[in-house]
Amino acid sequence: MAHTEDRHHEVAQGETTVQLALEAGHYWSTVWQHSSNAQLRQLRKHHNVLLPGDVLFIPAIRVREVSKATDQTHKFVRKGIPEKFNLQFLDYDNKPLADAPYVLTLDGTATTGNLDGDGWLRVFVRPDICSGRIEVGEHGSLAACDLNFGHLDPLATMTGVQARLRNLGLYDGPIDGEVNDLLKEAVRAFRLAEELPEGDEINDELRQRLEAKHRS
Amino acid sequence: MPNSPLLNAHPKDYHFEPAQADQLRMEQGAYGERFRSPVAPQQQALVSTAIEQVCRPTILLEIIFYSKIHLVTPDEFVLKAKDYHKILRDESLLLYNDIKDNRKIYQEWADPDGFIESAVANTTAGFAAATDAVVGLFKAVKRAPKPDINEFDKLIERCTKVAYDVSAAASALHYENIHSLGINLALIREDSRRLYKAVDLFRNRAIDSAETITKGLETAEGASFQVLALVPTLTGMDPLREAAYRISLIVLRAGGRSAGAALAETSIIRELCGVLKADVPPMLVEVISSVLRGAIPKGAGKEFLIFIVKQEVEFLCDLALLVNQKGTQLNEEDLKQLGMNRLTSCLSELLSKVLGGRPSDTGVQRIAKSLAESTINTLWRDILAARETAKTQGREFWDVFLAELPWTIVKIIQGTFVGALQRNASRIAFEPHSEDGQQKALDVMKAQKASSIFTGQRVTQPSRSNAPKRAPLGPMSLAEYRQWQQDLCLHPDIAGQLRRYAHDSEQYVAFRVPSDAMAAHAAEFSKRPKPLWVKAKSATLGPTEGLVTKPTKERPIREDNDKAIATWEKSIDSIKKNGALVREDGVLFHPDMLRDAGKMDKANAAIYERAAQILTEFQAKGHYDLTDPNTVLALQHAYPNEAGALRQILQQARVGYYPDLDLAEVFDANTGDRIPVGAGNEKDAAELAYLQRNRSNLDEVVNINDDVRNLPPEARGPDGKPRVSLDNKSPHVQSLFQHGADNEYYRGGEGGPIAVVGPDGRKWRYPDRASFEAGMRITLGQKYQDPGQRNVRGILMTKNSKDDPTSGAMAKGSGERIDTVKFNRIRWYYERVRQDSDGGGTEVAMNDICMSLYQRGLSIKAEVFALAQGGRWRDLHSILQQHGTFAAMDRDGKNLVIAGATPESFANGLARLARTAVDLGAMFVPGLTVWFELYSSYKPVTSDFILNRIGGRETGVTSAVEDVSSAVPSFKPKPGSKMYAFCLDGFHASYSPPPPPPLPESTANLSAEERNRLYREHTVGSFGLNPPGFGKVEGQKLMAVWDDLTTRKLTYDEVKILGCPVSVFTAGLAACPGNVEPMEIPDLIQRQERPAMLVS
Repeated sequence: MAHTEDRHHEVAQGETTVQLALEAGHYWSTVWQHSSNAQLRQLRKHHNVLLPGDVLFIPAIRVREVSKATDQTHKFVRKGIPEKFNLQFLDYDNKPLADAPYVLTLDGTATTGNLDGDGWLRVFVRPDICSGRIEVGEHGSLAACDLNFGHLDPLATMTGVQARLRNLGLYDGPIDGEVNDLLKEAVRAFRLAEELPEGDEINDELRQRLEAKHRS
Repeated sequence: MPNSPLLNAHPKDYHFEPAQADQLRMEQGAYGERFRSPVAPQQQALVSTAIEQVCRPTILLEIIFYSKIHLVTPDEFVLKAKDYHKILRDESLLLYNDIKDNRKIYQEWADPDGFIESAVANTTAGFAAATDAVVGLFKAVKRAPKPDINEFDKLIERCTKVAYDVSAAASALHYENIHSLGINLALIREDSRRLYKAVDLFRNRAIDSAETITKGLETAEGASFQVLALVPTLTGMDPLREAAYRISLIVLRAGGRSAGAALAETSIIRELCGVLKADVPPMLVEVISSVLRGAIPKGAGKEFLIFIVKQEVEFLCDLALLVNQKGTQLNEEDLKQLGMNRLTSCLSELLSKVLGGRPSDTGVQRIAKSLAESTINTLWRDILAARETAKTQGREFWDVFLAELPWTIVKIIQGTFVGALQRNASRIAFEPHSEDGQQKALDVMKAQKASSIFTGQRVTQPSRSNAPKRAPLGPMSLAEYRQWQQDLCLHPDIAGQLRRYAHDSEQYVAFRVPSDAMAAHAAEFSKRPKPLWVKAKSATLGPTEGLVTKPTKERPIREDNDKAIATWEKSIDSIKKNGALVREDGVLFHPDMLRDAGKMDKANAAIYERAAQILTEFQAKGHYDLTDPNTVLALQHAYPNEAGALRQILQQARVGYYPDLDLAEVFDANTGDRIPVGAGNEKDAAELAYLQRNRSNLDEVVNINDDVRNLPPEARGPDGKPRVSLDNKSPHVQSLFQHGADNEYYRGGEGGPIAVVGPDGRKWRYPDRASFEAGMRITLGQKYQDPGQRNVRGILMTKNSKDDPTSGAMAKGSGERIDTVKFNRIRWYYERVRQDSDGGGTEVAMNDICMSLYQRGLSIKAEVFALAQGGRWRDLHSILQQHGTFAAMDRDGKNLVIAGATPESFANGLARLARTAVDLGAMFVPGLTVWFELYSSYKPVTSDFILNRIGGRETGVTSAVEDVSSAVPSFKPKPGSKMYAFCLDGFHASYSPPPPPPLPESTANLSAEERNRLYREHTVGSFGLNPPGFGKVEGQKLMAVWDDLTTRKLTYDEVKILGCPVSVFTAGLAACPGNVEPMEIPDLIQRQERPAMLVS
């Protein structure tokens, strides 16, 4: 539904700029680059990696008038649709699952294909997609997991660290922002693998490595 | 041997292809993670669009041991790689031994030359005519096509190579190595299975061929002899040994022993019990029916036998779990929970079938009950022994128990089946006019070594067919056992037998209260009661108190040490003759006890075995007394390398003989007569002599002489002359001693406290002889006879260890009656125990649920409810029809039972019960007890998970039952947890009908209506088929299993509806005739009543 008034939206878990912009009838860039969101842009590196509680300014929709001749067919293309989804699969030795077959199920529809030579899944999805499931290898023998879109929090937050460590197969605890024993164990394992100083401290250095490893 | 399946076989029959890795169908073991990571239900990736991100799922590694897959994290692998390696090493060695042992067994079949001799020798003894046939059989075995024994060697070679590889891998514990070793072992195991299958095929054909012989013999000889003595000879091995061996493999396959020791977790134990319950019964029945074929009753089908064995194995597992959990502090309720009564009933049914006749026959009941009690005693003893061993050796209970488990199971089954047949043999032996029957029965006993199975065999005793009808004596409860042990220092095994003996023979048995030490020794598995040939005294002093010990002047063992020394010297010959030895601390023992000790200390079993071998050899050379330094030197000289270790292990081994009970006196409960029970030697004559009327007779039978030098020391006074006055007695010295004065034999106050066990199962303890006499005067009342003037029933009996009630070797008799109702109920259970194809169970028919209520005297009529509850539940029928459940109430309005089936799932069935209860409204009124019963033919008496009853991967409480979560707390969602499954765990009581009031002796003066009412109370719901009484009703406790989504641990909570537990029944408690609608049953009952029987 198009909004006719400017408004500030408090972001909930699972919401992204793209999704909110689509719902408001905007191209995501119109919202994200709005001067009222300048502060948020500085805080969050990526428009789709927001934190629940972030306040996003969504401007009112501006009605544009376009003159077109009648009795003709005109094609209007909405910008930003569909979205690109990029996910790389690694094995235990951090080697890409190159060319592995996959089954991606979104909205109950399964599509099949093969990961690329670097283990990347690069597909287009609807911007407002919320969840799905991917199985890599025969019957998910190489990897299988549920996909929760929009649930990746910024790396600066504890939940963001937890989410990335979970995606890297190191953390199996809840995504609650709490520093629990499982998280400490995962941090220790990550530090060991990345040859960082031993310990369970979550500092900037660890975050940088985590960003590099997770690519986001 | 025409049409012999053996000779007609084709070599191709025994051919098998080696297994390939992709053919392996390995199950997941209990150890490690439950889900393989890629398919783990909780695996999630938190992602976003338009950015790049990485997914690297949690990796789990496959570790294979005992042909099961176990999933572990890489971190865990690093931590425990050494354990996995150790397990694989053990597995390779066990598999190696397994194949080698099987090879050995098979070799006897493939090349039966050495074997034939014993077969011929055994058969010739009794069956000369069969010899040729047996010889023919083995000749046929020799020339028949058969599996190639070299296949075993190939497997052994492969196994050796893997064992070598395992050793080599010790320095490089890489995952790839460990994984491939597991695969290799699994392949060898699979190939060995295929080979064993071929061997089994061959062997079964050989046994089939042998059957032609046994069938012939059957006509000529008693079935029991033929079956028990000849067939084991023909089969060439102890079948039960093979069974124990196979159970060991099952235990190993379940990862129980080695994996359990290295990675002990509750889940492994649970899985082990599950595997045992599933795999052992069919295997045991296979062994039983192949070896005892012909002896198994016609009516007992294979499924029935499996059911019986399953009950016993389940009982064992549950008992062990409970003992381990609660220690020995089990109360009566605990045992009831375990379903002891069910076990007893099942055994009774089997035995009644084996023995023939009706189950209500007194003889059948007696034997059935005694066997069941023996079984439980055996179990109890083994479990306690394992527990004690675990404690003293600082080992895990399960580690010890599992090591002994195969033999424990075999002992129980042996006790059940072979014991039943042996008792049958005894019955054959004492059939009227059977002159050689007793010898036949003795032969049977000898062939089966029955004494090693049950200490309580008494097959040479005629069964009492004319026993008067008395109140049955039920089994002892654990609390009673404990009380007897506390008061009378009796080991539970002996206490139970003594009580049963007193009841069956209707006697009061008085005996000296043994010392505490005896009870302690009796609890030791490797120690034994004094056999007949051991005459020496047991120690009452010193560190070996309670054990037969060599007395010396320097090391007295008793207050009357000189006497003990004299007795010892008389015993030396029999000690030597029977292969016993004296330990360095003076304890008398037999080398076989070391083997038993080895069974309890598996880690050192080989050392014990070797020690037993050495000592047997050493003893055979004439050495027996290790208290003699020269003997020790001889031992060291003969076995210079082993003597040191042997002496060390011998000193710490728990071996020795503890004394039997010292019998004081036995009375006939009906007459008060004294019953002589003696050893058949001169001492018995002395005992008998204190009865006045026997004295003159004794003069004629005892060896009378007047040579005072032959008197034993205690018969002489200080002056060397007889101590006893010669007044009014026979002038012969010896006879004077034998007669003595009355008070010479009436040893008031002598011998310490005396205990008495009566025929009603009661016991008394008296501090001395005088109190004992006073007590007996009260107990026997007018039947009491003064000590010096007691009549003696019968003649002097010959005693042997099997007849002596104090030796722990008495006949056991009837206890709880197995009447027709119980018999039918058990059969009904059995017939209804069926499972659907996926093992999920089948629904119990509504009619049967309805009848299960009605037969307990409950009414499902709305009128009764209205009457009892003031019309509160007028819409009862509509509620019940809406939910498909039943509610029934007793006539007093004090008990309400709500029952239902599980039409779709357990959750669904529970919800129906809960909705019924909720719709009934104000149900919990003072004085009303509410019971919930759920009927589903899931596996009987099991604690396995009821999987897929609430969803497989889609676990959790479904929305379909959420509406009753306020009534059923188990349906309340728990944060961070999901309901995973239901399971059954133990028993608890459900509604049991009170016993009906006794019938008046005459109903002649009653009105027809009154007589009908009485009749109905005594036959309610029975359709005239069953006698009254339903007994105690117990259902299985329903538990909910919750899965913690974070830790993945399973927790259990008891399912309750409105605070009341739910009982699960695996079948209806009573059958409903066909074509009867449930709600119409009350009317039908009325129509089917037979008032004519009483009214007319």
